[in-house]
Amino acid sequence: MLQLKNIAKYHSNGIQKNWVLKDISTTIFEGEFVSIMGPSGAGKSTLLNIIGMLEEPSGGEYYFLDEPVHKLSEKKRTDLYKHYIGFVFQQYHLIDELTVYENLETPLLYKKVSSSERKSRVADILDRFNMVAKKDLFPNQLSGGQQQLVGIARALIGQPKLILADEPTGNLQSAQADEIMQIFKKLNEEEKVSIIQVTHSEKNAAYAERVIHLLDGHVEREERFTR
Amino acid sequence: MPRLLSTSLRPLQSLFAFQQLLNPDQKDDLLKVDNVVRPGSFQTYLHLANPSIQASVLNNIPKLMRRGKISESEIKSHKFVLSALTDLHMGESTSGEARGISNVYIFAGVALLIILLALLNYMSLTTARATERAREVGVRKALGAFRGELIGQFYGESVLVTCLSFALGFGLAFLLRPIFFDRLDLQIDAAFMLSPIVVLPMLGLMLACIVLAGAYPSLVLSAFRPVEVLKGRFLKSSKGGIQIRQSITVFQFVASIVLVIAALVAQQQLSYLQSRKLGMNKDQIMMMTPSAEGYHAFRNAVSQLNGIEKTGSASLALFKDYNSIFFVTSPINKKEVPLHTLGVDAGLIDMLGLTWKIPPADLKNTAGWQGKLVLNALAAKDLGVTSLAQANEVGSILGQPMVGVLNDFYFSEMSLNQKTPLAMSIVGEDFKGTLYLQLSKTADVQASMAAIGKQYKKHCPDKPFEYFFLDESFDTLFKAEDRMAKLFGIFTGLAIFISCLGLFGLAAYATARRAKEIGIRKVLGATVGNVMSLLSTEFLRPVLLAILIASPIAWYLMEQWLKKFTYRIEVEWWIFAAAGLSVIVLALLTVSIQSLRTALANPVTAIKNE
Ligand SMILES: Nc1ncnc2c1ncn2[C@@H]1O[C@H](COP(=O)(O)OP(=O)(O)OP(=O)(O)O)[C@@H](O)[C@H]1O
Ligand SMILES: [Mg+2]
Repeated sequence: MLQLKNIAKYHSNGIQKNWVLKDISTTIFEGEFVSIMGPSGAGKSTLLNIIGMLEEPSGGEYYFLDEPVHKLSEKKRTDLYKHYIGFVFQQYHLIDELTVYENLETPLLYKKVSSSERKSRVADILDRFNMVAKKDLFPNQLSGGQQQLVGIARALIGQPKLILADEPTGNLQSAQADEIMQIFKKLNEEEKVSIIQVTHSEKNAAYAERVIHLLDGHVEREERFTR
Repeated sequence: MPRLLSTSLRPLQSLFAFQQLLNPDQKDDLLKVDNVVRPGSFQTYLHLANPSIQASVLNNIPKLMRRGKISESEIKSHKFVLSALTDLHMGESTSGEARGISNVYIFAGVALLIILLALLNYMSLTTARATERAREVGVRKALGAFRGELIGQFYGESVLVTCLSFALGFGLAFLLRPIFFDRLDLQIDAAFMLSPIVVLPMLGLMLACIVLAGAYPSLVLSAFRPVEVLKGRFLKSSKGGIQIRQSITVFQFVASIVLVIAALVAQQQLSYLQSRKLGMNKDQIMMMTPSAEGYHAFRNAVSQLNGIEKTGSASLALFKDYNSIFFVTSPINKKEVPLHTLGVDAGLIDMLGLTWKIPPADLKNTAGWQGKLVLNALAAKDLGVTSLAQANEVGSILGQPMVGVLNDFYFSEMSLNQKTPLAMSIVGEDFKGTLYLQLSKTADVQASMAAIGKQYKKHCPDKPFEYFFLDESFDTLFKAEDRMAKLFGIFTGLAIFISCLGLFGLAAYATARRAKEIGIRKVLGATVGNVMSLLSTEFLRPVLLAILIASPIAWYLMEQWLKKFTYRIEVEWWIFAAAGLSVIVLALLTVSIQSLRTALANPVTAIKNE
């Protein structure tokens, strides 16, 4: 699915370079479910953003579906992630001014999906997440767990091959968190969607097949669960 | 008379611009030099005990004339009009047209509008900022103290900003005064700007600005909901504030668009006035008034000169002097018609290229026209004259036979502005009035002028060689209007600039507020173009609404304005389209900087800022 080779990232403030990521190399296969763990400030979000093409690495090579992302133009990169990647955030990041329905529709608008197709896809996903009754509500009228469900639905509606989730359950109670994790697992198993999630919880991390432990910007260790 | 010219009146502001004061008893001495003392050029000033007796004064004038043994028919042929001196000062002509004064009101109105626009900007931006400040401070302070303190702070700031800008404005006005007055051809004493009639209203205006500028932000603050502020949620919950700021933008653009449309219409009307067909030739014609003694010798001499095509003579200088008017009751339709009068010789009719509507019986025998009358088509129409015989019927009351009826032509300032019936009496060769010389098209103007000047010195040594060109006199009539239009254009530009500044501030605030949303949209796949069009539509909405509101207002105002003109244009739809389009383009350019910056921003940073 994707391959990172010696990815590095630093922020420079004046003369000094603050290294956030150093020499990250790993391969993530199609259909894999991976968790990233590590203490705060370890660079987890940064790594996820680089994989999601929202941030550019300072060095190294990044291949996504065999395309050399580090060499692609901005437009090509946008096209790639628009079509293959869906994001889920800790703070949900729904658009406050739009209803649930409109929030779900937005990614399709930017993918230039036809109006009838949009309608059927939004209807499908509302149905699948049992949110048909809530389609006209605004995000602040929903509970945190419900908002995150919308966030996941929105990430899925573009039918991505890869889902990137940055602490998707960080703001949720454990019951709701479990529900989200079940959804991820089901997605991964039944629809072969690859998932990379950042999490602080051992329990949630264990839903994945593989855990990458980051420390101070480098891969400290990896562990694999066998099922 | 002496009362009016008393020293308390500053000469520069006085209506009476004079180089010489002359006692009426010395009139005969003057006549030796200047043979043209035009009828009616002496105006009579009456100092009324109180304005309400106007009517009885007017009633008493015929009695006075009777006492002066003036014949009854003479008395009948005169009509008297009283105009207040203050109105004359403000630019009203004796014919009752009031363009000067309405211009004064228009400009005062526009100036106030501009101050209001600036005030609105100030209020809108301070409240926008206030909401952010409230969030910062709100967390730390107990609300009771906090609110009072902020209100005080807002008033303090508005006092400071307003005082500073008034001082700056006054200083600038004082410094730029020479340029400004020069552009507008105004003459105003420096001392006038420091006199109480200027300074006191300015101080009043400043106080009003301070109160207004401080009031709105304070009002908004008192509507703060304490818990929301403390939770730092003021920004999100201030939908009302956003709506008010949007309405302010709409209002500002309504004002700007009305001004743009007004400026366009006024410009069009002015160029229409200046470029219409005059019905006469005014090119290459110079006018001068040689002294009586040398008049004929000079005229003969210059008519021999090489560059001189034609000569002519009239009782006054066209487009410069005022005609006198007398009232005639038509024997045909019994209507009372105010006839403007003018004495011309046949040579001038030829020179001006005037054309006949009812030609004379004998076109060639111009000598035979002498002592007879010519009407213009408007006079003929008003008097009900359709044939030469009918014309002579009118002529018989006036005591002069008619030559014919000329097609209408413009001959004076008033004739340009209203339908002016004209009766011209044809004078003979011996007439000594304003002399008209037409230079031939191929003439070397410099050489011809030198030759004319030389002859003038020879024949009229008593009087300085002064001359005017007819086309320049015509253009001068529009100078005041042109200047007004230019000033209006500048004001309009200023208003647009201020409105765009307001929009710029609003855009900065709104894009900052929407930064996170934009970030999310970009993560969801929005391109820079998507974001630009999203933001632009948001800012275009108030502008479009403003166009809708402004168009009928501007249409109504300009219809009212155009009503004052006898010769006027119709307001056309493309003016609205042009004004709307140009304002849209300006607004888009204004917000594009902000929009582009937001659209290009890294979504990760935008999203992180929670
Ligand atoms: N724009 C930036 N400029 C400078 N330093 C930055 C910038 N963005 C992130 N960093 C630094 O990079 C480091 C890694 O940040 P990152 O957000 O990836 O950590 P994280 O592992 O996700 O932490 P957390 O668990 O708290 O979310 C941090 O030390 C942070 O201060
Ligand atoms: Mg993080």
